[in-house]
Amino acid sequence: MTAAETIGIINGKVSATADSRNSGGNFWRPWRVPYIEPAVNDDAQLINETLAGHSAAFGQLVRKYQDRLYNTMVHVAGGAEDARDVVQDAFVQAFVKLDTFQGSSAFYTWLYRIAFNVAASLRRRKRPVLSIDRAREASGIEPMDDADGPTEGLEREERHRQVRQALAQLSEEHRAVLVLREIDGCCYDTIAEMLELPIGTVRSRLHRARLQLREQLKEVLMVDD
Amino acid sequence: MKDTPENELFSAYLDGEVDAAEQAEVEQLLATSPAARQLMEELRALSSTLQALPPYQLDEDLSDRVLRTAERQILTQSDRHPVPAPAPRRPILRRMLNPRAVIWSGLAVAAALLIMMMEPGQLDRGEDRKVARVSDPSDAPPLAPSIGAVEAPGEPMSEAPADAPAEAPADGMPRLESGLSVSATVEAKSEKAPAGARERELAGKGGSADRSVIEVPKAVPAEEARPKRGSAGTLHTETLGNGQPAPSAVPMVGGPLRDKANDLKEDGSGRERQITSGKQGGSGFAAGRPTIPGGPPDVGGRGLNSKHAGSAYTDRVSSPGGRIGPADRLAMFPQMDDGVVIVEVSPEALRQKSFNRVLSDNAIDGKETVVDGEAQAQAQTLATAALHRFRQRESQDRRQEKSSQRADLADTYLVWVEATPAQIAGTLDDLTEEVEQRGEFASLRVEPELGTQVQQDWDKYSRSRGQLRRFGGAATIPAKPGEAATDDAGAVGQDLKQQEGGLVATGQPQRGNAWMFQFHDRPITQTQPPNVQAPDPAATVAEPAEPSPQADTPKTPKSAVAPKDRGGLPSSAGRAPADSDAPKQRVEGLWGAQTMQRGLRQPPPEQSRRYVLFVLQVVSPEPPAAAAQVEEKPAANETDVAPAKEP
Repeated sequence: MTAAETIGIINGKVSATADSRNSGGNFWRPWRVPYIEPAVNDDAQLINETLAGHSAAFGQLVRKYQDRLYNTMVHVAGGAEDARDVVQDAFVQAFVKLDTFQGSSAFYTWLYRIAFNVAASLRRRKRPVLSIDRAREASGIEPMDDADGPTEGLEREERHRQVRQALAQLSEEHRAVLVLREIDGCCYDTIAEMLELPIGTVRSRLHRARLQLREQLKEVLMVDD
Repeated sequence: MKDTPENELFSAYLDGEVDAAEQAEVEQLLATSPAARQLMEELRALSSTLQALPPYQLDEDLSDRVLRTAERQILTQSDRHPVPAPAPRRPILRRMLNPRAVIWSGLAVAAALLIMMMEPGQLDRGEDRKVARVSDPSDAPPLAPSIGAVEAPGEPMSEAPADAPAEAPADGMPRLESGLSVSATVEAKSEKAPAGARERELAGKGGSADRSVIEVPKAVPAEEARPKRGSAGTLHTETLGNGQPAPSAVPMVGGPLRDKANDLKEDGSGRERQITSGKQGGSGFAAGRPTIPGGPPDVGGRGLNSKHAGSAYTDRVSSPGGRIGPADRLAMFPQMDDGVVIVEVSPEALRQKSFNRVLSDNAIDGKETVVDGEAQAQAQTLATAALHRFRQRESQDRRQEKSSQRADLADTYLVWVEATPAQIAGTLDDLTEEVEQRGEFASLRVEPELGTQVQQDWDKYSRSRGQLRRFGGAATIPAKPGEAATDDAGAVGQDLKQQEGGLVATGQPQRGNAWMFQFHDRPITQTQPPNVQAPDPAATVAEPAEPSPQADTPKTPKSAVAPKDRGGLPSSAGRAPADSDAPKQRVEGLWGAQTMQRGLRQPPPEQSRRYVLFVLQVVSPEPPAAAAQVEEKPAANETDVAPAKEP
């Protein structure tokens, strides 16, 4: 499906189809944080191609979303290695069940739902949950940071470490909502869809999560101020 | 409204997830309450802090691993998927008393008893009563012309006693396994003479080989009856000169289905002949020989006529000596499209276009080389793999000394053959015969070799083939020519006929195609384009007006025939008029004019055909390129009809 097919040109006027209206584009913007929004047409096209037997198209979807999903799952799964496993398993499950994808939501939303289920299964199998710091120390993976200078860089790094540690102290349900909102930039509707929660629950959990984190990061926030 | 931190509207306001009323409410609080403003500032700072976290990134591309894992998972799931829960079992007694079970059990017991009581040969005796088989020519009366004439003169066709008992398998014909034994018995029975089929075939190509499907017309001299050998392009379903069909002549199976107006032509002798294929003979499915699906179509041609038409896929299950011959081996793979046959040929054979002739004899026509790169690459891949396996086995097969003489791949020619299984089987049998006569072909191997599993499949195959033959054996014998089968198994016979690919129904000759090129992308064949326009049958068939008086010439083994004289094999017979059109045809390379001279009908594309790759290896240091440039023999040399000469 080409962009022209999706957007459609009727009598010379460009009209968006329901797909683009529902899943992003100019009509409905699920992401608050300015990520590079996936062109929905591309996702739909890649999915169609995958279902038509071109598995390489799904490879493009993997490359497109793996880092974004991983960045979320590191906080949700509680460790870098677990997050990698969760991301991989989520993509595998998505590939296997791709024919059940209805297209009523964005592929990314559907993928996230799968990933959260995979993470929940992993947590049930693996207890206790590793903290982010322990996972980071074990894996040696450190997120990239733009340091202005040696001193400022160290301070910033320390601040980030404290934020992640505080984030890891949250309960799973609060952390998930907060990460989806703050880290991934999802709107309430999307969060509710991903976590299969009512929007009211999302709103209350998010606020409680913020309050808890505010208590833990009071010093950091004061420094920032 | 509370301005306490528990008010979740502050977060929603921060995120822009409030409606107008909530927004107004929050803004009023922020305007009036310093605590609310403080809370909002802290939440905003917290949000900024979280969003400022540097993102984690994977250090690898997961796509390959994901796809591999997913594929494995899908395969695993599909393996254990269909495990239906076992149905609840009924009590044994109730199951035994089920009427259907009783009936089927009774039938099974009856069938088992019947099989036990009957010897294998007796299973086919009834069929042989209807279809007289050729016995030893020495004790048989002259045979009338009938269908399927024999490919070579020499021995009169004879009528076997109608109640000829089935003989035990000939000596030296061990049975491979029980499943094969039925077929082996059939073959031995069909060759009643003490000499086995191979001996008879060796005694003279087409001399008496397997003229087993003829019911004998009475009192018609053989000379008059037998079509001239090499009367290319026709199949004779002869009727008497007065227009009355020979009362005992067995028509083609598909006779009732044919368009007689089209098929019957008057020849110079005043007889009518039914033109059904591009070549002489073609007893085809005459004499009530049913075929299994995918069996031989009604194609004329030496090999098909003599050995395969109507019998190749029914009787010739095993090769002489009990071993599985190339044709049988290939027949085991009815769906195989990548069969490879390695033929070692002499340069002389290339020069004389012997391979082309064999193809032509089996109604396979050379085509102008239009093999595209993909097909050629596929052929080369297949050929390389087959040659590799062949040489591996050969090196273990105490034939090293011979392989040392073998030329390299540059002396290898590849011939894609697209034809029916019967045509391919006929080709293989003709080549086998050449090999066994130490002719121009040194060896013949069919890849893949038989393994254990293949052997088992072969047993099943031969068993089912025998069953089919017995089942439909009586179905295809009409009472007289032109009448539909009226026997009990008529429906079965009709089904079988239809499964032959509609060939019989349409009366269209089905011709194979072959494309030849040399290994290593050096096309050497540039044959003249085949005349694929559907011609008038009369024009298509260059039929000799009279049977050749040489038809009764004693048969000479093929190997004793000089190559030059071998141009007069059936396939080349009757080509004189066509050869006179030589200027139209570009004759280059290995492909001879003889394969292209006849008018051809376009083969129906829907026929069940197979692709087999023939790998011709030149086993002489003489470069094949020289053979490729050999000047074409004059067409007149190939128009001689009688191949057999006095030794």
